Amino acid sequence: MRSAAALETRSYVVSYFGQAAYSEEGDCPGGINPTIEEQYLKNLAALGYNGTEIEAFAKKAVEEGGNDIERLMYERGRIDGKPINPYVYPETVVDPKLVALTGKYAYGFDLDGRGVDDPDGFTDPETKEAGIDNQFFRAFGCVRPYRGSLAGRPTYWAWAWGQLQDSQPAWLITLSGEDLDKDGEVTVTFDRALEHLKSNSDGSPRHDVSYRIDSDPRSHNVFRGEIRDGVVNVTEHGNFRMLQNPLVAPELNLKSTHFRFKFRRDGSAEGILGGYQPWREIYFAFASGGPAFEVCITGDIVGLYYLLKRNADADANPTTGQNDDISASYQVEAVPAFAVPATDIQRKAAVGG
Amino acid sequence: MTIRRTLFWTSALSIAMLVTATDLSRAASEYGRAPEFAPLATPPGIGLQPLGRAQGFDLGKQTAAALNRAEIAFTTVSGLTLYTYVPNPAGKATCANECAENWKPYLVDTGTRVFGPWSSITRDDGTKQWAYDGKPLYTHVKDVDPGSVNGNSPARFGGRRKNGVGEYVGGGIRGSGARNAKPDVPLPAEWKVALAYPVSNMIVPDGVSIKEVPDATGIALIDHTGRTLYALKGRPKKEALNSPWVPATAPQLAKPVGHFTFAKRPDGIKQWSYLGRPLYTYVEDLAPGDAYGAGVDKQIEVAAVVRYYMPADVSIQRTLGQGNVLATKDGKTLYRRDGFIYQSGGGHSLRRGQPPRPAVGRDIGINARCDAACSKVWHPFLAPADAKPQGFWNIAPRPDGTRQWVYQDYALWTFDGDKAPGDMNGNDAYMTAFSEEAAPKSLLDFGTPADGAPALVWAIAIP
Repeated sequence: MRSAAALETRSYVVSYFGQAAYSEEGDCPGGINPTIEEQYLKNLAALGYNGTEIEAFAKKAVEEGGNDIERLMYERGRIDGKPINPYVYPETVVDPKLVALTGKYAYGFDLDGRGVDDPDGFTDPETKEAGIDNQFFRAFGCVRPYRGSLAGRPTYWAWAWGQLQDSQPAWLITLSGEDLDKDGEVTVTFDRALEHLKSNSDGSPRHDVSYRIDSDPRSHNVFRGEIRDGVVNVTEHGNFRMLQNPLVAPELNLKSTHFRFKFRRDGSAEGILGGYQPWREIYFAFASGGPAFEVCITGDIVGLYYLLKRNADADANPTTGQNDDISASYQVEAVPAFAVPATDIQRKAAVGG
Repeated sequence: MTIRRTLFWTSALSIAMLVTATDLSRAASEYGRAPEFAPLATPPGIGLQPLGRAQGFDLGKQTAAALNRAEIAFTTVSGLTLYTYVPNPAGKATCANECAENWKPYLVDTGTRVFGPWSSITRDDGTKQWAYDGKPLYTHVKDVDPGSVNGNSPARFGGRRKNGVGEYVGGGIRGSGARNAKPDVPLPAEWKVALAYPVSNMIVPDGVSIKEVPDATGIALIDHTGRTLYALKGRPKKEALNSPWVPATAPQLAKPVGHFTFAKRPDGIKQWSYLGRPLYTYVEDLAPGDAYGAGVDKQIEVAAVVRYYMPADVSIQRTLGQGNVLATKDGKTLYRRDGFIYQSGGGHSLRRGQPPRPAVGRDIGINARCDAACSKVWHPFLAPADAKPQGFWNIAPRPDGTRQWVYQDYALWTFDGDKAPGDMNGNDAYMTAFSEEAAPKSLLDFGTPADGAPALVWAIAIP
């Protein structure tokens, strides 16, 4: 892709990345989904335990800890009546039918271009655009760890970022254009760095640090865009691929990538990255953590499986009819940085053998 | 005459200091061998295995980079621990009758070369048995898994799996079956594990230790900060101000200890010297375990006590993002196929963030579960026809008759997407799986236990 006339270049390092949430009072029909402890008791009923037995399990869990329940939950799948790992075989578990969000607002983009005619369309609370496709938020929006806002980050995503920011190679965003303070064409490049995000002693992201760009072609993404009124928007919506971390997902893959990014007065920037994402990749990230994940942070993983599958809204499989992708939007925050190509000059010769 | 007398007394004083200051002279002469700089740890036919939990059976108790190899044993080529029998006199195998029911001699293959502390003794039946430092080596009949001692297999600490003889052991979520695992049966006092590490028969000065330095592919001297020490061939010169080599200084009151003496320096600094070679640290080594000075200067090498075997067709490449990685001789990065393990802290992206687990490497073997597209770009790293197992290197026969190199129990692979030395474009590539069937007829098999949905990942092979 030919770059826009690149007289000015600005680079940023991503200082927060997580699902873009806009939770409101009353956006979940019948209330928010149960906590994992409550859900486990419901799951016991689905496994055939009667009220007295469930009460005994609950009493024991309160008095001695929940090991008995957890052991049953870790094998709550059934194949020919035999227990099986539910995270590997989610369809062998009765759908706990967690509810999805019915609110009006969600951050994101009108990916399918249906605008106000889209029956599943949200309204973006920031741009006020209608027909926003963000079924990932709809799917998880009534599960407690995923509720929040841009300012009050959802528990799961805040936890995940806290886990990753000091170890995951940082993501870099580079804007190139004739004059980035004026309206005009811009080239938006996403790369992965060799270093992780550098922080100040108080944990805040450090501005103006140099990062080396990983030459691995898998994490190099270039999009044409434009600046209007201080907001960058990608205008050519290709595919996005970035290596991530299996704690969240091994890779972030998006189709019909949309991105808006606005400058803050302190030199940092914030935005929304969206597109259609393979929902199975999202599910794997939760399922791979297994029981430890489920109890500590994610909530009922099988429930999340069914939520993702039901709410997937793109790329129907021609054989099964099941949609393979789900519309999703992520919150991006970034601070100024210097992005330096890790050139061949830096490579050192073989050192032994 | 005066000069001669001076020389005589200087020599006499040096000898007296050595004799009084150290027991270590036994390391030089204990087994009738002259001390050697950086000898090979193992001959062909002798392997190395970390003991206990460092085998990596346990899925859940270790977080990023915390899989510590506290003990490394000499083993058979199949990875079983080797032992010495204390009552044996050097050069003689006396474990017989009842003793021989539990302890089996480890025999030398015909044509195997012996060297240094490695030798063979002829048994009464004419067979030749491996010996280390003159002590015959045995295996224990109840050891069925690498990393075992006296029949106590670390496999019981992991998720439910078959052990080396096909019995199910371990179990529970994230290896929690270990909570109910039986305690170790102690090794009888007259038996000792033949350990390559830690090194016990060598005395070092205060401030110097002996540690495994995987990046240096060996067991080496380190200073009091944990940094790798390097040894110069020849006498020290005055270093330039910007020299990356920093003399390992000794206290002014220090005395020679064993193989450690002092190098005479033009600037008067008292510098430690090992086997007559002045010692240094390297400024680019920032953390314990770094050995970035290896190969930088032909005159300076890692001060290794022993070095691990490395095949001639393998090199070590320094990469920009992940430090030293194993590579082919022409610099192509080598990979292992590993099982995914969830770790708090998300350290997967870090160097050694997902530490190699030999148990998992053996589980997966040469079956990378590659589909047709994957097989087009991933290739087994083949061993020459005459290659033999040695140290951490082993060989796996392939169905087509070729032989694949195996390092620390992981089969090794190359990736077509790597074009230049240092490229790691296949690193961290995942193959994930779960079933969407309500009544699957067959279960998913990734070869190794997993907590939740399983995955295999291509990961760089690091020394």
